[in-house]
Amino acid sequence: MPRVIIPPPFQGPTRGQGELKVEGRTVRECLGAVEAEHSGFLAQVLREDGTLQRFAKLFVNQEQVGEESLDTALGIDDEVEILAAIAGG
Amino acid sequence: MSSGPSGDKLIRVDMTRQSVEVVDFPDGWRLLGGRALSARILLAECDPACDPLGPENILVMAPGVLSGTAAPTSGRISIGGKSPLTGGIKEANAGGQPGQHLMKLGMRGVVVTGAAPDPERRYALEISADGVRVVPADEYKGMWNYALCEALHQRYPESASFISCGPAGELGLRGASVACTDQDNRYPARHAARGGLGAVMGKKGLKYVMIDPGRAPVREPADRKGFAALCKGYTKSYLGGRQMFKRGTSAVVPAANALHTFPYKNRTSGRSPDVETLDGARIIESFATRGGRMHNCMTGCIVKCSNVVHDAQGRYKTSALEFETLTLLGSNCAIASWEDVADLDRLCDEVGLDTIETGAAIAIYMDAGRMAWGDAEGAKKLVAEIAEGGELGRAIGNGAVATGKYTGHHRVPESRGQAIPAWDPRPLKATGITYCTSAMGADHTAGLIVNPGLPLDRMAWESQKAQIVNAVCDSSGFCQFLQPSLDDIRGFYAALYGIPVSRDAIHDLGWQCLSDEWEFNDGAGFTEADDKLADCMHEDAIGDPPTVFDVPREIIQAAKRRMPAREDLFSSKSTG
Repeated sequence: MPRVIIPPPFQGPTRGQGELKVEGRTVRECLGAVEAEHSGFLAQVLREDGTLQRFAKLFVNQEQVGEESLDTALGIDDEVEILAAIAGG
Repeated sequence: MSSGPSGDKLIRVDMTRQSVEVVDFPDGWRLLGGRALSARILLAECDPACDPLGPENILVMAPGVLSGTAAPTSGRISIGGKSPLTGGIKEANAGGQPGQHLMKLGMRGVVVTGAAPDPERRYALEISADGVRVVPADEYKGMWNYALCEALHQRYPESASFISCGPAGELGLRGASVACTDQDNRYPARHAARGGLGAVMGKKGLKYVMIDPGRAPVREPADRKGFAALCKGYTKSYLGGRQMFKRGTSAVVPAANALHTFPYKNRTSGRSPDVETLDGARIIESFATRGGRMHNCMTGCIVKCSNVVHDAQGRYKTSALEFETLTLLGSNCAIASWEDVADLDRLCDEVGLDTIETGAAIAIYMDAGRMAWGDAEGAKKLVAEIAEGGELGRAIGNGAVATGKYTGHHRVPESRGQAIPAWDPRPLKATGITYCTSAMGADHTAGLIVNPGLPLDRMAWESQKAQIVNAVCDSSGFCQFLQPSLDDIRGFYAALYGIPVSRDAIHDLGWQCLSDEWEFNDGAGFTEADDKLADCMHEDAIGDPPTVFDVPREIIQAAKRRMPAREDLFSSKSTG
């Protein structure tokens, strides 16, 4: 199953879990699978219109992707990582 | 291999006699700089029971260990003393040029004692390769910081940088900041803001410090090849990586709002309806039509997180309009326009005020019904009024707690007398533990943990870890936004002096800094009972689901008991 890596700022809905293996054939399905188990997670990553939140970045197998790649097919060993640029004074 | 930089000095200034002594810097202190050096000096030499605005207090200006070298983004300076705001030890950290300039001259720090016998007189400290001296500076009395720096540019060489206090500092106001000039045009836009150290400077009669490095070279490390390789490798890795702060901290606004840590109307909510108009993306968009840009505040910085903001006519308005300022002077006061916040930022820099403390104070004033929410013009008049020294100006200028007392208002979000910053302890409970336990009081740069889902049983460690990492970072000269780890920092230290620096040693350095600070505060009369937040943080719920700060006492106190080092202590990046 693909892995979804969740940054600390977004671990509120997942109650501190930073890595989840989920059922999903695409990036979008994997994010949806996390949301199904942890309500409130998806809104941190995607806007209501389905585009990426500006403060979230997506990486598939270490390569940055945009929202045009949300429906890209994933293999069972693939990794989706979300990066959140949240800190500062 | 040489032994690295040697022959360093410490400048001791006695403002009572307006005399200067330049003494040898103890060789045993060579890994002490910035915050750790300030803490060591204050613990050893400052009476923790002294009046913070009296001659017994000591003001320390200490660059980081790596300042003045070729290490990237390493020129930060710490300003330290007993805080008139918290009544405890305080370190405030700033960028700009002065840190590097001092170190290039081999000056590891400036220790200012005493006070001018005539409180109406003003003096300056001049530091250059020709020597160090105290000179009269009465003609600059009461000057706002930008006008002061413009006048000083006429007097001193172009290579000089300046540290100054504004009228707020001269009035001894507890929200007063210490200003440092930045790299571009050398505006006084980098502030060691928190804790009222500008008042300590002002009450000593010290209006400004001039540092002219002339042609002093970059500090040479013992292991030149190793140090150069570290600089090159770190820079390449950073610039090739994810560069979190490329658009500045103001771009964090929508993310913070999503996490319910963009306080609105005196923290009665964690989300603001004005998130779009306060978003730093609006500032970046303005560059296309008005000019302005991102820039680095100090030579050698590779992060370039600082913005230069222009007005609608294309003229310079302010620099370093940060997330905290957009929050405390914007959202927290229900002021909706980033442009109004830019005006307020400029005003605070001019008068010499902490934007966090001032924003918190104005929000309390509004919450008390004394001014309408969102009254930007009223807020600007208030800040200008602070410089006049009237009753209302003094209340606001003395910060959140003073404004709470002045208005009789009940909701005063503070810890240890210092206003809570934008990062709210209710959704970010581990950060709340930092606010409770750090000797700095409510200071996110002391150890920020942005993880709303962190389980309770990990919170004490995460706070302690963040506090240690940030203490070492603030001692090193590195900017927190470069995000070095303890392993990174000890690697640079080792190459600088040609000595091994073990994980145990760097852990000890960080822990000793925290311990020195706690010991000072013990002497100032603080006890465990003071390791807490204001009642409103326990009573007023925000977020979804609504939450208060409800961390049990034993978890909070655990953050102050040294835990065995774990692997993540050395690999975790500084976060502030």
